[in-house]
This record gives sequence, C-alpha cells and structure tokens, in this order.
Amino acid sequence: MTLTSAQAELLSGVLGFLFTVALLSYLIGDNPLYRLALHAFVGVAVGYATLVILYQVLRPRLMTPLLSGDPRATVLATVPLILFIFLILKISPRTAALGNISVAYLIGVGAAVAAGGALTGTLLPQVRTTWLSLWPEASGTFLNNLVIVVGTVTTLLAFQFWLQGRTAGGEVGRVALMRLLAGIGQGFLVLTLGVIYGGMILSGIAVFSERLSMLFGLIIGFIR
Amino acid sequence: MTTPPDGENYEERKPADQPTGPEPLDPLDALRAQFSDEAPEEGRERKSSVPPTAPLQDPEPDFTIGPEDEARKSGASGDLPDWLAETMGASQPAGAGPEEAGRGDLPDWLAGAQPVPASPEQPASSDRPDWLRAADAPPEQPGDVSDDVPDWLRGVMGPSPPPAGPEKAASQEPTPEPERAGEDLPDWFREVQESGPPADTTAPAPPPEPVSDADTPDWLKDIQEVKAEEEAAPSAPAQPGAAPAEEVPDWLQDMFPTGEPAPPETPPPTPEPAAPPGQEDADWVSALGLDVPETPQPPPIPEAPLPEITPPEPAGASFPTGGEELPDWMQAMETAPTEGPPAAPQEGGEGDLLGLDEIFATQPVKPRTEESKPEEGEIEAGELPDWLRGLQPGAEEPAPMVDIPVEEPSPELREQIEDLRFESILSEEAKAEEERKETVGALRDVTGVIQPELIFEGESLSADERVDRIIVTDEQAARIAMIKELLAKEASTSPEAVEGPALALPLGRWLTAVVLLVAIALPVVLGELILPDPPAPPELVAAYQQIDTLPPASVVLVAFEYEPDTAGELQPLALALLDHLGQREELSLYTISTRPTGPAMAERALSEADLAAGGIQVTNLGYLAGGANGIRELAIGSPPFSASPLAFDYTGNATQLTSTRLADLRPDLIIVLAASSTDVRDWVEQAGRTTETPVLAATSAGAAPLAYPYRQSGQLVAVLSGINDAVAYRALSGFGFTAALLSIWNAQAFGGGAAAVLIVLGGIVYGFKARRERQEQD
Repeated sequence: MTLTSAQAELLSGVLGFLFTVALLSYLIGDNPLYRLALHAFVGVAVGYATLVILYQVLRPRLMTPLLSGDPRATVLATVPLILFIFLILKISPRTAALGNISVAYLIGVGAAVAAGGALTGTLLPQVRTTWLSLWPEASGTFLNNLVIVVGTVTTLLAFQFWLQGRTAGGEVGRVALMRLLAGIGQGFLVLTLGVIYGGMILSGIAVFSERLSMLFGLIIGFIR
Repeated sequence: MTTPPDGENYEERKPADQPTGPEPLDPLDALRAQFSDEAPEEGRERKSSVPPTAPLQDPEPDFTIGPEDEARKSGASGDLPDWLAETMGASQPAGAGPEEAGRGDLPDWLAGAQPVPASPEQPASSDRPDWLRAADAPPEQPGDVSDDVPDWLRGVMGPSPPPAGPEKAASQEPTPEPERAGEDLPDWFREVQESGPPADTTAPAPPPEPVSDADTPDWLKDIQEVKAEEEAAPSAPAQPGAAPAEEVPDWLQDMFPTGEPAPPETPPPTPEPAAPPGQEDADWVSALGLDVPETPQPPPIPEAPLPEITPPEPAGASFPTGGEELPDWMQAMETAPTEGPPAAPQEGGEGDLLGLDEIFATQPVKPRTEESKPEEGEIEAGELPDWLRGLQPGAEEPAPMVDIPVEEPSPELREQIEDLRFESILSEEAKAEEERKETVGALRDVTGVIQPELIFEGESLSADERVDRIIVTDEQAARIAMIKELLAKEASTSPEAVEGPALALPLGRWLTAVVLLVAIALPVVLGELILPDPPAPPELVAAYQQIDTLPPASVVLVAFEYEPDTAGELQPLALALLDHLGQREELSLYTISTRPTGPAMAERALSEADLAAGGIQVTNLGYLAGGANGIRELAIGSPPFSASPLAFDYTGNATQLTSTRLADLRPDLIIVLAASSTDVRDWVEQAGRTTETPVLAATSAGAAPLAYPYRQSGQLVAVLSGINDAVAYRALSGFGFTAALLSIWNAQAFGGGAAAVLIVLGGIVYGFKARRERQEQD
C-alpha cells in the first residue's frame, strides 16, 4: 500500500493538526494529551536520528572501510571502532576506565577545535572589528564606531570588579568612574538581551502563526 | 470541769509586774500542755496544775545548758526556781526544819524553806538578779510573795501544813494565803476548803501521763538521751550523800559567802502519781480530814494503778537527809532512764510532782545493743553516700530483694523490641541488599550489586517508612514534620501538580494568552491583509546581491541547521533563498546539516523550492556528525582511506565527488540556515575562515543579534532573520508571496504588536506594584 502524495499530505496534515492541538493543550496545564504528543515527537525524533546515524555515519564511515578489503582502510577504520567499543564499555563500572580513552579523545579534540576556532574565528576578528577609529572623519561612521567602541568597552567593564575604592561610608565598592562605565555597559547588555528576547518572541509567534495557518488551511480544505 | 492548759492557766495568773518570774519554758510547757490537751481526762486536768519544774523553767534550749545547769538538772538542789523558793519560803513556816537536820545538811531549797533572818551582809540587791532579789525578800511579805506564786501552787499551798513544831509554829506568822488561794481554786476545792479546816498537805499533783514517742519531739528525745547518759555516769550532784554545802551550786556559793545563810528555797513540789480524779481527790481530801464530796466518778484507768497518796509530813519533820535528801523525782530520774519502764510513783510527797520521770521514762536510753544499731545505721545512711555506705565496715547488708511478680511480655512485644535493636535493623538491610537482584542493564539478574548513592528527591522522600524503624527524638520528629510540610508546600505550588489546571493559572496569564491568540489568529483567519511590503534593509540587499552575483556553475553549500520546532520561521527564509538560487544557471547546490533532522528539513525545503528554472544540481549530503568537529573535518578534509562527508548523500548513495574536503569543492557561497547563533559561529569559525568562503547567515529572529558581530567583522556577507526578511527578500526578488507566508507574516506582525503592548502594560503594572510594595516595606 503506497500512499499518494495527496494522501500523504492529507495524512500528515491531520496528524499535524492533532499533534499541534495536543501540544497547545499545555496552555491549561500538564495533561495526558500533551504528554502523548510529546512522547510521540521524542520517539519519532530518536528513531529518525538512529536511522540517520546508521545510514549516514556507521555504514559509510565504519562498516564500508572495514568491509572494503583494503587493509589500510580496515586498519584505519579499526581506530574509531576501538574507540567506539571503549565508549560503550563505560556502561559497566569495571570497564569504565577503558571508555575514558574515548572520552578523553573526544574532549581533547573538541576542545582543541573549539579553542582554535574561537580564537581565530571569533576573538581575533571581533577585536579587530572593534578596534575602530573615533576620529570624526565621516559623521556616519563616527557614530557607529563610537557606539561599537563604547558598547564593547563598557560591557566588558561591567564584568570587571578590580577597580574598587572606598565610599564615604567606608564601604568597599567601585569607584565613581567605574560605576558610571559599568552602568553604561549594563545598559548595553540590557538592550542586547531585550533585542534577543524580542527576537525570540517573534520567532515563537512566527512558529505559532505557521501552525495556526496550517490548521486553518486544513479546516478550510475539509469544509470546502 | 475542764481547766485550761497549764501554760495558759499560768500565763493568765502571772502577775504583770513580775520581772523575772518563773516563766515556763515554752517548748516543755507547750509539750506539757499538749499532753494535757490530747487526753482531756480528769486525771490530766489535775496534771495541768502541775507547776513548771526547774528544768522546764530554763528559757534556753538544752544545748546551751552549762555544766551547772546540767548539774541542776541532774538533781542539784540549786535547780529549784526562785518562785518556788519564794513560795516555799512564804508558805513554809519558819523554823519548821528539825534541829537534827541542820541547815548545812539540808539542801538549799530546803534551807530556803526555813525562816531565814534578813542578813545585813547580804549582797547588794543591785548585784543580784531580780528573781534572787525577790528570793531574798523577807518572809514577812507574804502578799508580795503570794503574787509571784502561781495560782496552782497557791492553791496547793492554800491549806498550808500546820507547823511542824510548836515553837516554830508560834514564831511562824499565819499566812493569809488561804483566802487568796481560794479565789483561784476550783470550785470543788473551794467547797472543800470552806467545809473543812485547811489541810496541812499540798495538793498532790498527778504525775504526767506516759508520753509516747510519736508525741515527743526530737529535741526532747535528745535531752532525754543526754540526761540518761549523764545520769548513768556517777556525777557529783547526783550523789545523795554529799554534804549540804557541796550541794550548793557554785553560783549560789558565790552569791552567798561561806557562813552566810542560803536564801530560802521552796522545796520542790512532790510529784504525785496519776490517779483517778475521784479517787485522788478522795485520798488527799481524806488525808486532810475532810469529807469527800460527791463528785461524778469518771471511769478508772486500769493501766495506771494509782499509788496511795499520803499527806506529806511537815517539812521540818520529814525531810530526808543524806541519801534520802534527794526527792523522789530526782531519784526517778536516776533510775528510770536506765531501767526502762518508768518508775512507779512513790507514795506521798516522794512522787514525781513535775512528771519528769514519766517523760524521761518514755525514752529510756537503751544500751548499744544489736537492736539499736539499725537506728544508727539510719542516721549514718542519711549522712553517707550510697557508695561509701557500702564500704563501711560492718555495714548492713542490703535488704533482700523482694521478688515482685512481673508479668512476662508478650511474644509480639518482645519481637518488636528485638526489631528495634540496631543490629537487627542493620541485618535486615544487609540481607535485603544481598538478596536484591538487578532487573535492568548489563548487570541484570546479578545479585549483590553495589547500589549507587541515592539522590535526594524531594517529592519522593518517604521518611515515614524509615522513621518507623528507628527511634527518633522529639526534635527529630519535629524536623521531619517540618520537612514534610515544606515538601507539601512545594508540591502544592508546583504548576505540574496542580489539580484542575484550568483555573489554576493566574488571571493575567489567561488574559495574555487570549490577547495573543486573538492577535495571531485574526490575520490567519482573515487571509491577506493590509500590511505593505516590508522595506529592504541593507543586509537584505547585500544578501540578495551576493546570490544574484554568483557566477555560473558556481558551488553553493547550504547548511540546514534547524529542526522541525523552528521550521515554521526558517522554512520561508530558506525557500526565499532557494528560489533565488534556483534562478542561477548550472548551479551546484549541496545541502548538509550537523543535526540529525537537518537533512529532512533540507529535503522538505528542496522539494518546495523552485529549483528547476536554472537547471541546478542539488545534492543533499545529509548529516554531518560531530558538530563543530564535523565542520572542521569537512573544511580540512578527512584522513586517507576514510570516507569523506562528501562521498555519500543522505540516502547513502555515492555523490561521485572526488573532493574530500570543502576547500577542494571550492564553494562560492555558504548559506547557513540556523535557528541558533551557535551554528552560525561554528560555520564561520570552522569553515568560512578556513576556506575563505563567504558565508551568508539566515537565522531566526532570536539568533540574529548574536550573528551581527560576525557581519560587522566581515565574516558574514549578510544576515537575514525571521519572517520579515523572508517576505522582504521575496519582495526584493519579485517572487511573490504565498497565502501561507502572508498569513504568517501578518500574524507575526499583529502578534508582535500585541506582545509589545502587553510587555509595556505589564511593565507599568508590575512596576507600580513593586513600587508600592517597596513603599509598604519602607
């Protein structure tokens, strides 16, 4: 039995409608319908991911070299295979130590890649970007540069607490200049977080709108 | 025919001007009064008339008694009180003593009874106490003396005995006492006096009743014991054969130098044995030669046989000498304590008038016998601690334990008690641990596996089960109750645990939900709306130009870094970009994703995009494992003899690409469709910098702010975000809009506006609320 595209679209539409309503029922609290839809999505996602890993990772990158007959490919393929077996052995406390080899390899490689990428891909470029001239040659760029420089510096100062002094009451705290700059930096942080929060709200509204549009289109389709 | 107690009676009749009269000793007097009160018998009513004795007159307790006083107590003649001496001096006829009994042979009190001429050598009255001064008063002042005499004694002396000798009787002045004494006498006695001549004997005083131990105070017992010990040992005052001069106490000798006559002293009243009142009255009345009046006879007391009372002989004729000088009551004091039972009252004037023999006889000093040891032990037991008492030599053995029948506990109770023991609890737990068998995992069906440490879960904490098995204190129980209360509060305030969640949400949340729902659903329901085409920002123009300027046969890699949850926002943006790419000629389009569901999103977008116009080649490379590491591998290439991510598509088919790395593929543009800024960063860091390939980021609205810095640094050619940019891109490209995209766009616009209004209103409301709360706190 093979579904046509129209049938598959209709079936997917109905299932989508039901699962959407079930998820929206969380508005009134936790309920079995919500949990059913949630578990269904988790199960489907895990199943799909398993298939993807089997077909796109294990088979082409492990099984195929091992079964290729090429000794070099086989030897090279046994390295990830051994690491894979070691990682599985972490299930047992007695053999967990062997799994640490795989974990150490993953963490080491991951940290090296992330650190290298962050240093050369984010930190240095961002420092270079904020190293801007505040000379008012062009009014258009001056304001932008000023905002970027001031925003960057003050935001960084907002997280610094080393420049401290004593207030009139004898309490240890930031000096007046630091308090001013840190306050400006906190203002930039608030604006940034507000923009992020607003963007997330818009993202959620967009997703919800897409779901409502799908539901309404399906209902209109059934009516018509 | 009741008379008040002795002390009370005496107090009433005591002259007020008597300076140092014979005031009765309060404790003894009260004790005597108590004796008379407790048994208000007629015999005791007679006893109430017993005058206070010399020892009783001592106003100080016995522990202050000096040696002289002790001597007086033991029978010295100097012990006689002054009032008694005065009385005797007044009542006794002068010179009543016989000649054979010289003054020196007589005790002082007896000497005082004889007429003593006023001595010029008498010490100054100022040196003498008042009572002695009164004793020195000449006997020709009977009125004064009679005032000092107690009434009872006055009554006794009323019928003064006749003179012992005719010559002495002639010299003796008649005493006017009978008239005065008759006033204080009871009626029956007064009748007797009126009916007959005055008797020559004093009224016999009944001896005191035996005093029980319970009625005797402790201090009196001590006195009696001390007296008994002292009397047991031979003492000088107790020697009856002593010379009369030696009998005079020192203090009296000091006051009366040698040769001086001792002040007259009244002989001690002879104690009288207790006798039935009627019989007693009849005896002494008969001794007076009077007719016994008819008086009601109380029942006789059989336990105390009454001795015969003989009228005392005249003092001058019958006073004993030598060993018989001591009165009977003194002799009784010597003998009675050691002999145990009280001495039998002697006849006539030899009876114990003061009743001391009876009192002392009640507490005879027993020798230190075996029977007396327990008493000592009791005293020592109170002073010694228990542990020292056990070490005392000869300590009494503890009383034998009395077997009290104890009810055997029931087996159930015994078992419960056994279960409460620590070893029992531990053994049960250990046994349960040993018998526990694993049910899941690799160690299934294996017993004795060490269980991981339990993680505290607040809602699943069940303290009752374990508390029932141990002994908890009140403080621990209170803490357990507090924990339970806190857990109950936490569970009740948890939104997931609210029963009936429909009404459990606050009203503000319901209003927010309704407003947003209406604002979003209204454009969807109404279809195409009124919003004009969005303007094209510079970023959008740059992105458009980047795609639009792609050379023919260029290679474009699109990373679908989003999943179904954000597909509603990113799918329109992806479609807008794919539609534009589809118009490029001979374009090679590769899609890849570091998320497992990314290839599906790519496949869906590719299926919906219009890619057939330019004849582009599309390859879905599928899933790229490893995240940033996978991107790095894609950028730098796989190791030799290892499959490259570019070798197979998402269905497992070979791509026929010879390139093993991205640089070899030479992409002209990398488009990152990311729902998170992290994916944008990974692609920029690992792929864009390495391959020097321009990267275009199309993100969600929430991830755009964090992607703009890379745009500022030039690492991104453009950043597109959200539905607005999708619509704007499509408007810029001239592709037109679908109904779904328009409804989503309008719904997002209305929903965003409503959310902004709600945020502002919420900020105002909660701002004022917080300010009011702060003001209330201040």
